[in-house]
Amino acid sequence: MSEILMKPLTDRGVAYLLFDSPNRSVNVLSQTAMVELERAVDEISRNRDVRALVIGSAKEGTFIAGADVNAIGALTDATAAREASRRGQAIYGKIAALPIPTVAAINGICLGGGTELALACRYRIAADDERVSIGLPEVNLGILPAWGGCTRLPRLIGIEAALPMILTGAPATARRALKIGLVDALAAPAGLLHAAAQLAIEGMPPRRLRRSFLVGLPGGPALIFRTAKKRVLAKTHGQYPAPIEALDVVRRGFASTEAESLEMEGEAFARLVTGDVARRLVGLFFQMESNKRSVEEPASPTKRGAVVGAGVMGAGIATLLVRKGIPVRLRDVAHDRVGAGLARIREAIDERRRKGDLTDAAARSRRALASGTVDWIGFGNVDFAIEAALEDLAIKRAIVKDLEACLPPSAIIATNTSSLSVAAIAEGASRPENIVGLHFFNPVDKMPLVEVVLAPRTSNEAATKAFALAKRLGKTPIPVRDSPGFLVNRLLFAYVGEAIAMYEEGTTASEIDAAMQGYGWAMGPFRMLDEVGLDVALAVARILAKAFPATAGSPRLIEAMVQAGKLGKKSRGGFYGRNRKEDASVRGLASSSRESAGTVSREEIVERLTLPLLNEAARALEEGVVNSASRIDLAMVLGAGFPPFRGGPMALADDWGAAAVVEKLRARAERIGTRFHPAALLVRMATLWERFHGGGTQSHGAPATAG
Amino acid sequence: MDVPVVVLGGVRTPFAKAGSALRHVAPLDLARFVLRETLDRAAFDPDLVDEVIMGTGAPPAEAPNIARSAAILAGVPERVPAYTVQRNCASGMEAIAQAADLIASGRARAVLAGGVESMSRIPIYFPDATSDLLVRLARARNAAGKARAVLAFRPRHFKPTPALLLGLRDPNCGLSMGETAERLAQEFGITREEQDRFSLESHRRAIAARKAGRLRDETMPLYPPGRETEPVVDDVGPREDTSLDALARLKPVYARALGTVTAGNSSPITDGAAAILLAREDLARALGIRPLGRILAHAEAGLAPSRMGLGPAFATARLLERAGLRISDFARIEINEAFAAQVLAVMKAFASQSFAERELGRSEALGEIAPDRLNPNGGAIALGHPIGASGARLVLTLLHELGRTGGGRGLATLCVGGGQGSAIAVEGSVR
Repeated sequence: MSEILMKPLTDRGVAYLLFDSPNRSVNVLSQTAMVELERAVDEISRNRDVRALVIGSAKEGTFIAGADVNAIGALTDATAAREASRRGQAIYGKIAALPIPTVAAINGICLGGGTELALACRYRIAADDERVSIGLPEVNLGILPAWGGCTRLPRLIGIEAALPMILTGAPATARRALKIGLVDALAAPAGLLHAAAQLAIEGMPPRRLRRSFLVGLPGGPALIFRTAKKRVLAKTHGQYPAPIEALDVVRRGFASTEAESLEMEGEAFARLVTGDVARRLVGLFFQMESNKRSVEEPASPTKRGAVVGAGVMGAGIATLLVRKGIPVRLRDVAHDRVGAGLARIREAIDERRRKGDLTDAAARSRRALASGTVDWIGFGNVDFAIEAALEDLAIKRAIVKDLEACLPPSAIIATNTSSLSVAAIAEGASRPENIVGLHFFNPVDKMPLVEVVLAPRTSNEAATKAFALAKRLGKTPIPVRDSPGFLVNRLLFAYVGEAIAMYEEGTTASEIDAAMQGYGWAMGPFRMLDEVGLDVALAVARILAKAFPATAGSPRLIEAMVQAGKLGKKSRGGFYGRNRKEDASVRGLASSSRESAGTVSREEIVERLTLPLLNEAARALEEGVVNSASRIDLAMVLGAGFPPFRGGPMALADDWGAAAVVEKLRARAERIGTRFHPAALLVRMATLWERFHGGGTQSHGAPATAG
Repeated sequence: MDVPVVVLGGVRTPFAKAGSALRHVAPLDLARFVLRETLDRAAFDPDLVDEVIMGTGAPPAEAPNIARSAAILAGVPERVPAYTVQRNCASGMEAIAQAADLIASGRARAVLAGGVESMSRIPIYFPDATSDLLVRLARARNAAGKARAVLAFRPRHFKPTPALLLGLRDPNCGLSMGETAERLAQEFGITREEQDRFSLESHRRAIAARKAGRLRDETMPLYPPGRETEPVVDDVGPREDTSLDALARLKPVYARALGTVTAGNSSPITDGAAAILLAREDLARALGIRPLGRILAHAEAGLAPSRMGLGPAFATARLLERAGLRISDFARIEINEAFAAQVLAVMKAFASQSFAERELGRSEALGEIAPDRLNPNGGAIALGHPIGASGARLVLTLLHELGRTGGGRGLATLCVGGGQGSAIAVEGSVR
């Protein structure tokens, strides 16, 4: 066998099946692996000497990362999809039907099909290890668990605990899994297989589910399902069918027989996987995976970090380092600022402890990784420093100088800037080749994107170390050229600038926000400005207005708001007041404002705001700010809140067709302003019938896993 | 010593009177702060550390081998061993002495050593009978049994004894530390005014050192876990507003009649930690780290517990013999100021021919200590005396002072409750 190791039967009659996908760092349930699994299970069921079965992994710290997403992406036909689900269900059904005790020994990452396999076993035991993460992330790919997950999980741990796992894809740690009954026991990581065999032989009385009183009440379960549906709709605005379908399958399946429930899973899966949303989300997943694979391992991975600037951003970045076990020295100009930063780190770590993700001892050792200083001492061991000070060129340059004086010569200095040029910050540095931009997004712990800004003199080594660190911190790093606004802000402000232009023409902020949210954005442009802070936005808007006078919007209104002290959520409000209602007085600040432009349709709002974004994306691609259309899609979805189910701006442009985009732009260039002149790349693509994404998004497929 | 031993760096927390700024900081945190900061400031790769030794007077219940627990939290690799030493007031100095021995004998290349004490956190004891009752309560199987156990408690069971007080009373001679100081004052004829003057000078020097920024290199800012926004940057003890009058008004603590030892001329109970990094000289050279100085020799001695304050005289006598040095060879001397009476008695003993002959078996006196060479930046009366940490602080302070003033040799010594003395001779590098 190549995918699964079958260890010789022990003298107590325990059979071990250990997954070991060849040439991969994680185990994937490929088609061959499934065939081998079935053959092995058949063999075991025929062998009278086998008294117990343990299913585990031969790989360190990873159990099974799920089904092969390439295979999922290739399912374009409902019949084939239905068959794929039925086949997996049948194999897992054989495991569930074995008369001998079966145990899944979960030693690390356990996702999707891996979790469903574990659910088909009689018992589950997990290593008491931080690497253990058990989840059903299928909904994030626009599909649902269809190898028995929607059926067996609620039956094992109850609907209350099962629904959040299925509907949000959020994984559980080993300790959490034990608490909710997802696993029966924890074991020492090095003794997991022994403990699993022990559990199989000795067995364990079924655990009683800890359920709330609601479940037992007449109408209780119905209430739970209703509440869950409300929560899903609040998050997805009805634009993602998978969680709703999954909820429906669990609700109906829970009241039916297991066979009927499995049938429902399969049907829903076939519907979802062939739909547009799943196609887009799977496409994004491939782009993320291929981006992840493009990150090289540096010769010496970061050992000790430093963060300069202990504000919200600096402390947030320091927290990421600390969470990954990297010691970090936090520096700011005054003790109270350093103290406040350290307090933020401690609170963030304690938050994870309260949630049960970290033990008390683990939280203590994480907290101890952060140290503070107001002096430039104690940096001699740091190999990666991140500057997160005020967005001010002189300050950042001074910090670079100070850092160069106290860091070892080989240390990398990353500047976290959103608007300044990295080359300008590196000017006057004695080792500019060590300087790179790392643009984190706010809030740092939630936003998955990091722009790695490569200045002309940035060395390959510095770039490699920056990419690897961003990846280690759990982010998706996108390489961008050191040009004004980099990628995300440049595109985003094309869109925001148009929103402000419409606002000045008389459309209200709430109308525009509602239209864009309705289109699938996480939040509308004005809500976003309030959230980011108008002062922060102004710095970016000014840089862009100067760099791209022909296309960028004017920063006048934002300027006036900053002058009036309306900085957004952090101050007396911005476009919206404290009561979350639109603040009418802002309109008075707009220089050329009209009271009302009459009603503008939602479609018009969406097109007016989306077109400049697509146009700017084409220009950025043309100029080489970023080197591929997929990276633009990834960056805008992960960094700007572009609707994921639309696949990203370039995927959207493909959907509309380059010709249509150009036509729409030209029409507005005549009617509204020259800023709508289509980019040369779009015009060329329109004439040549070209697409940004060659033969469809699935074809990026080197090996990839999930779900 | 065979292999030359150098000090690569070190740091201490600010010292704070027990119950003040550091009262919420666990000793384990105090210890890991100084260990980590010492490594960071010396830019020393923790992989090169071969041993960690910490001294403490009262090992905390939650981390009895505090050196080990703190070393791991400070980023020292798990494979590096660590142990905790206890020689009462000399615990921190003992850690340094043992570290120096390990390196000198070729058994270690680099050792982290230091001391820690949170006197705010020393536990409070309840009578044995109380714990018997608590055990009974825990073992009671039913409500009736529990009720019976609860009803057996009496008010006397709740009368606490601070372990601190127990620790400050010598079990062999039955005297408290303050009482031993009173005895020395009488034996050497030291007046209340002399003690108060000495104490005032300790405060004056500590304040002057802080104002001149002389303590900046040796102290680290401490951001208390859980209260990071109330950072502790300076020592809490030294007072600018104290005066001879104010000191004279304080009542003697240990003897009602003829008493001279007061809260003003004794070292306050204090929280703090200090650490230094020692290494082979050739390792420092290979790494290109300029040392603070080197360790020349150390010595320890015992004497009558009731005269424990004279420990420095006995230990120094041995040290001089061992290293072939004279008192006049030391450009700077640090004697821990447990009590002003005790330091003044030590100075008299150092200068006395008859003391040398009678007590030390020497033909000549140890030698006079010039007051301007002694504790030039103030001492424990102003800064406080966190039992386990003081010995390490003395060495750290001494090396920094020598570095500032042109190098030369220095002596650090302290008296030890229980009737001992410890002493270390160092040589400072010119900074």
